[in-house]
Amino acid sequence: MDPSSIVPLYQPIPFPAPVWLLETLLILGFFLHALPMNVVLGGGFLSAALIFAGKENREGYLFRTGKALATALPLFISFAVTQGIVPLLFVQLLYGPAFYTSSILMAVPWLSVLLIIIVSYYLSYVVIYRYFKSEKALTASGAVQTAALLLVMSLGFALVGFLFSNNMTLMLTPAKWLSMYSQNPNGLHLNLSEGTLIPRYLHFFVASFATAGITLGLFGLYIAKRNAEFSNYMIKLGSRIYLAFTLLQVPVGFWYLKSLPPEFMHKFMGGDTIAFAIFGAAMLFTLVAVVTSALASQSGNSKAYILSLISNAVIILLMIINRHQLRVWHMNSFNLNPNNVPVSTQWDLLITFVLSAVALIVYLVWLCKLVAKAYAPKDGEALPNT
Amino acid sequence: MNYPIWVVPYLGGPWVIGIISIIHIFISHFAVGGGAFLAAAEILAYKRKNENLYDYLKTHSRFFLIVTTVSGAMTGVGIWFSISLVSPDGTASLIQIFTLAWALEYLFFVAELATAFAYYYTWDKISKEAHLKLAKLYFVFSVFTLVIINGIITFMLTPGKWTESHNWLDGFLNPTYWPGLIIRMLIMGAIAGMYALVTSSRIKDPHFRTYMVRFCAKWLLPIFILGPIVSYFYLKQIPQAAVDTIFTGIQTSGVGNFSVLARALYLSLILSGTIVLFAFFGPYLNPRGFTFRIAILFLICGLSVTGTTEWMRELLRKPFVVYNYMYSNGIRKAEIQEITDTGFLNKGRWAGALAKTPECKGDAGELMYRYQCMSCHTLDGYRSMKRMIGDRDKDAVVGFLKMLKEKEADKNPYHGIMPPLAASDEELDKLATYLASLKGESKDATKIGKLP
Repeated sequence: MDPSSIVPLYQPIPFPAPVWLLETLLILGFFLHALPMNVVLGGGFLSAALIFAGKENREGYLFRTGKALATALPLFISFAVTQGIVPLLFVQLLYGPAFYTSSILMAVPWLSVLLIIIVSYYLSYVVIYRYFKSEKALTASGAVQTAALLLVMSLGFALVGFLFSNNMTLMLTPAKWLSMYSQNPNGLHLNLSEGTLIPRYLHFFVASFATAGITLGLFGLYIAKRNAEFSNYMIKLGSRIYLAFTLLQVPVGFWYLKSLPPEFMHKFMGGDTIAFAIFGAAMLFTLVAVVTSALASQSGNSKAYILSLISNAVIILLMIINRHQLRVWHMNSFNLNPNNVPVSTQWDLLITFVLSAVALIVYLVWLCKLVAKAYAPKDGEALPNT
Repeated sequence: MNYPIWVVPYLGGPWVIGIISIIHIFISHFAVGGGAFLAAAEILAYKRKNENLYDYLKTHSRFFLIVTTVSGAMTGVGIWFSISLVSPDGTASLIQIFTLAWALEYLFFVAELATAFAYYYTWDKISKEAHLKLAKLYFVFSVFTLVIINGIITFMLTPGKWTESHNWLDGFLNPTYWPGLIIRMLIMGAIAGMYALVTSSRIKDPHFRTYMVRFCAKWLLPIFILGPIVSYFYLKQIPQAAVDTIFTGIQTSGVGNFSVLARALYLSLILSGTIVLFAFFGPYLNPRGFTFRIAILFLICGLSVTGTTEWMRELLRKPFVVYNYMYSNGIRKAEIQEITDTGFLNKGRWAGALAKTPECKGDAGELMYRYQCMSCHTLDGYRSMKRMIGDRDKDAVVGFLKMLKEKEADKNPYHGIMPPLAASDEELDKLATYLASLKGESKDATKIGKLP
């Protein structure tokens, strides 16, 4: 059977803006989601490990670093969830026929994502209010319990990521859909038979440790004036973690590349000029990030650190563009093309949206300044809320 | 018919949406109403220089932050997840019409959340004036999220001029937009009061507790005075067929034959009345005797009213997802005639593909059931098909289905309650064969006929 014959049709309603703009918003939205999401996923595991490793010396840097990271998690979780709205909205709009179908096939695990996030999210608060803000955190056994809770929380988030990988790969393979549904219509499927699933998931999973690591350095920068030694420690530790996981990412990344359908792999290797250029640029930035993070991990040099931080953000953006291209190739292979949907631009709403977005940025800058001023360094003070 | 149908035994897909929505509405209304409460209480604390009240607000705002940012946000995403599983065609339509409105709402969400965190984390760290400003800003942003989503929710019941113009603004500022917005804001105030009663009942100082309990109880009263007036304007704007459904239900109540909709209305009114009476005679007049347990009872009553009222609103929209545009089974009104002429299974992608599978060949009856009936019915559970079939034989079922196929109200008493059957004569016969085969079948809900 021709798989394209089972891909649902778009609704007979025009798109509200040109497809290139909607695709840009999808990519940008996913980028803004991926940054905090990576910190949450990798940061949860890292903070558990740091707190466990530092349980005997709770005034030591190891423990305090883990505590600072764990304390910041609810904020990152909240932003990861909110920023997730944008890619979810635009993927439904642009690729809904594939996305809704794969979601229905795995409806039960897909809905369980919500429950898992709620539990993990609450756990992040339990850690803060039950342990960090009470005497319990001061004992070694309290630290072990904290680490255990953070581990459970992180396993929850890791499972959520795995379920997302299942759906994001299942939506690309309509050839499987009909037989899956014929086996069971209750939405109990996963996409475990998919060859790219495990390498793809690992590619994201490993990246999250690297990103969480590099974020630790950001905490270091924040307290640079207050506590130079601790700041230097966090930059070094963060860069080290980043370097280790980025190097680990190289074989994982190639495994993933190799697992792709050959025609798509070849596009990344030079068959498609734009995809190749973006992939090449990502590799180049990875090289920059490796060198600068190696420097920062030795000296704690903040300039080298900032370079690796920026390189990492650029790599994530480039990889997201590559990910999008891969999706488009898949979609085209079964004739799902948003460019075939008529467009009737809602100018009034589009202009309101753009103006509101600018106003939001201005407001957030003002708000950040206000909060930063509230937490302006005072002598002998630790990190906010730690 | 474009998509595979998610089979949810016993409960049925709509209740998956229903359960998540009721929880979400109760929490999200707290997020908005609670914002007003926090701002109002902080103004009071500021004017009276009441440190007790400030201390209370610090505790209450932690509870507020955690409940709204975790469960509120996640169940909101949950509604979205569940509607796309149960009603993908309807969800896709809404998203194609209102993408940018949703995107705009997201901006306000970001502002709302960032302000909520800034508000909570700057207690005692910035000036009292600056903090009060954050409380007010939070309230404004949360109201804007409602201002936007209300346009999409009310659009589904009263799409207004959109059905002709297909202009988003006609759909957004639809006939029930304003009454819907005002009712929701009143409800939000009441829900904020109920939540605040819970935290107030935990205050240790008896004098201050009494003061706060009384202050919170006042938040529950406006909805019960203004609610009926606004509801009148709301009902005036909704389609006549939907109003008729309510009143037919009420008129026949005397003979014990009242409709589900009328039952929901009664339940909602009784529970609301209970709340207002107890709020007035309880925390308002006798704040001293108010306890944590009573506060929890208020919350439970509040949740029940929210549940029944939202359920009623959903029932009003039946048999449509978007009134006069798309039926709850995802079939557009404009498609019915074509389907009747050329057949349902020739039209939809998935329905058509499934009809050609070996499991289904020659027995499309169950497939027809899934696509035409299962968006509201289950086999053994909610609105059980087996129970409705009872002892009817195939001829009786054929007669019933033929009636359902009629598009005129005088020939089809279910017009306006159920979607017209969209099927060719042959498909109708197959569906009847399948439905009649349910007669007296043993209870085995998970196994549905020959289709897996």
